[in-house]
Amino acid sequence: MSAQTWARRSVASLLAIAGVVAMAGLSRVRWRNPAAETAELRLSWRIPAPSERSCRPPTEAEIEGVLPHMRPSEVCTDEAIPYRLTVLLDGDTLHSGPVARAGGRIRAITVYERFAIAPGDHRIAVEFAPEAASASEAMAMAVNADVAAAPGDVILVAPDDTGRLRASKGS
Amino acid sequence: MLKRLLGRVLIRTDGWVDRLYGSKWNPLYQSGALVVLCLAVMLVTGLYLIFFYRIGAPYESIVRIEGQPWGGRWIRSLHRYAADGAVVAAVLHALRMFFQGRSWGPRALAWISGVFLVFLLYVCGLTGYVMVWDTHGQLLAAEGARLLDALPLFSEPISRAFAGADPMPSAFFFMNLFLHIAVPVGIVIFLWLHVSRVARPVLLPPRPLLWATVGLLTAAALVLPAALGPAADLLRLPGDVTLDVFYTFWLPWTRSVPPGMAWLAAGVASAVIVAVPFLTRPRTDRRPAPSFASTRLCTGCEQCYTDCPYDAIRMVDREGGRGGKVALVNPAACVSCGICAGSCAPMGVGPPGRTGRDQMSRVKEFVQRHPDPGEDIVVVGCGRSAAGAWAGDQARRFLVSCAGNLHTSVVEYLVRSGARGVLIVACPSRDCWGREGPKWLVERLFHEREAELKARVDRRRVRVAHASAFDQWSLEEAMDEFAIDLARLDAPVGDDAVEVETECDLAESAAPHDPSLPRTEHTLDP
Repeated sequence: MSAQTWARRSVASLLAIAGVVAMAGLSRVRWRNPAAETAELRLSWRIPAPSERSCRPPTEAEIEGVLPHMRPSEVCTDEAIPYRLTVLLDGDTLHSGPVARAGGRIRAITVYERFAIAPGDHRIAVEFAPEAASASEAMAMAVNADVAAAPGDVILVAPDDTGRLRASKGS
Repeated sequence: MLKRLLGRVLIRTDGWVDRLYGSKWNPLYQSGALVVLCLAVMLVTGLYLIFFYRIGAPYESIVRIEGQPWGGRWIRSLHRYAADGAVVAAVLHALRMFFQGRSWGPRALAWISGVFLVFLLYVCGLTGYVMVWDTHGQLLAAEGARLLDALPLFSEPISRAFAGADPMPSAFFFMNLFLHIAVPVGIVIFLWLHVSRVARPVLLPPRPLLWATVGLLTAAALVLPAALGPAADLLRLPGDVTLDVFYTFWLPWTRSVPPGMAWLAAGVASAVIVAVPFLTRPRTDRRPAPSFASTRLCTGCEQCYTDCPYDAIRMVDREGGRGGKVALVNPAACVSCGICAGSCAPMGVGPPGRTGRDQMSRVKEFVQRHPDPGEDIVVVGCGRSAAGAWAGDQARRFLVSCAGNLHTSVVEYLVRSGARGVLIVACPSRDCWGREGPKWLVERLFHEREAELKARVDRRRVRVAHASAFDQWSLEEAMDEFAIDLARLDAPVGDDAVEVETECDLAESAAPHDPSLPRTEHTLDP
């Protein structure tokens, strides 16, 4: 094998090895997730279709032409109860607004919100309640808690086994 | 402008890599086959890994695989690196096709199916990363859910599954596993579609390159095992994450922008890539015309039908009730490579202006212009090969659109006209824009393939060299070696009797000529 051929093959081999090493290197690029410099307040729960039923006797027009045994004794309508979510952090409002429902019909309300918060000690207050005072019998949930959040911590606000909101932190 | 500039970079890179590896083993020419090889490696290693993966404890099962003293760790790494290699090779393959202008017309199907293949490869790769369920997988799953929640697909936010209130259900990992296994079936279907318009598709690289690639990937897997991050913890924000640039390069960017913008960017990029065949096709008047077949000259030998690299020629019954077959070109499938022109002994098929007859007319003028052919080697070559960029005596250079387009009668004419030697310069065989030009050329010149170089031609005066446009070294080397060999031969003797018309008549006489048949060209309507 001539010196030129040997040199060429050596360069070719080194280039192939360098290519594979580069590929392996690019498949393990370290990246610092900037979100991990802060903590996160995370709200997550789902409540079944909160609605208000109002019933009244049927009007003459509604039962006209309906066979006697098919006539309803009352006509009911279900109206979705609008809910509001309020989140306070150290007394400042992080979020306050109505909670959107999924779908066009009366459906469950799902809350899933994430807020980046500065690491440190905080007092959090979360209130999830019907907007109308008349719906006071509907389910409402609230929590007030003092938490200490380190960078990368997730403070999860979610219902516990008894259905009451609770703020907890991962291990 | 940019396309032209990058095309030049590609040509130069090809030349340098040719110089190092030789055109036969240049991995850049095998990019498509390397993708298939990487898929095959993934399949084999994946079959092993699936036996040890547990959807009930995904991360723990990966840790167990990593702990296997002989198999697991490097097999998993090989699986990963093969997946990365597939992306690298697929991108190289797409860039080559784009810069070589091989992405429009009849090749549009291959381009679009190729884009879908890459998409499926990504789906497969991303589900694979989530399956590991380390911090990288967690981040990927959460970001994917955030992006999907921006679309009007789900009635409730699927991101809530990653809230951390409940442990991840096994169903989630089952779905990932299912997709990871089912998507390769889609890849096989699209791969079939991808090569459906080419004859004799080459799916694997030559054996030395195949084993070298597998060996290098295995060595990398042994020496640099794939990373495995800490176990996913939904109640911790992942801090330092090891990204795979080939699959998750987009992650840092999408996390910093609203989901709508991420979707907009992905949609625009995808639309542009899918539209490449329509955006890059030349104007109608600049497109090379498809081949046509003359029913008068066609002998029904089926050679053009056999040689066509794109299955664009069919043999149909000859009209007029005379029996026999005649070649018929489908213009919608013809890429105008001209290889059929070289395969037709009677010179009855080929693209307009590039048939054997057209070549014979040109070579006659060429010989008349050349004062003393006996002194020189005539360089005949594909315009895209090193012959096209050759800076030597232009009066000694005769170009054709593809080495496979060259009719052997042209070579015979040059030798019998007294040329000292004819050096035919073809593109590297795996980089032929017409796919099989160099292969058929060599077969016709030296192995008696139909439309062969006649026995009366001294084959010592004919040589084939393979050299890409930038690889002038190989051309010069081949020329020097050829000149040394020719110096050992007697001086060439010109044959005064050789006439281009005679040659064409000779070729035509081989056809079952029926004067009653009209002299019409026969093509399918597009």
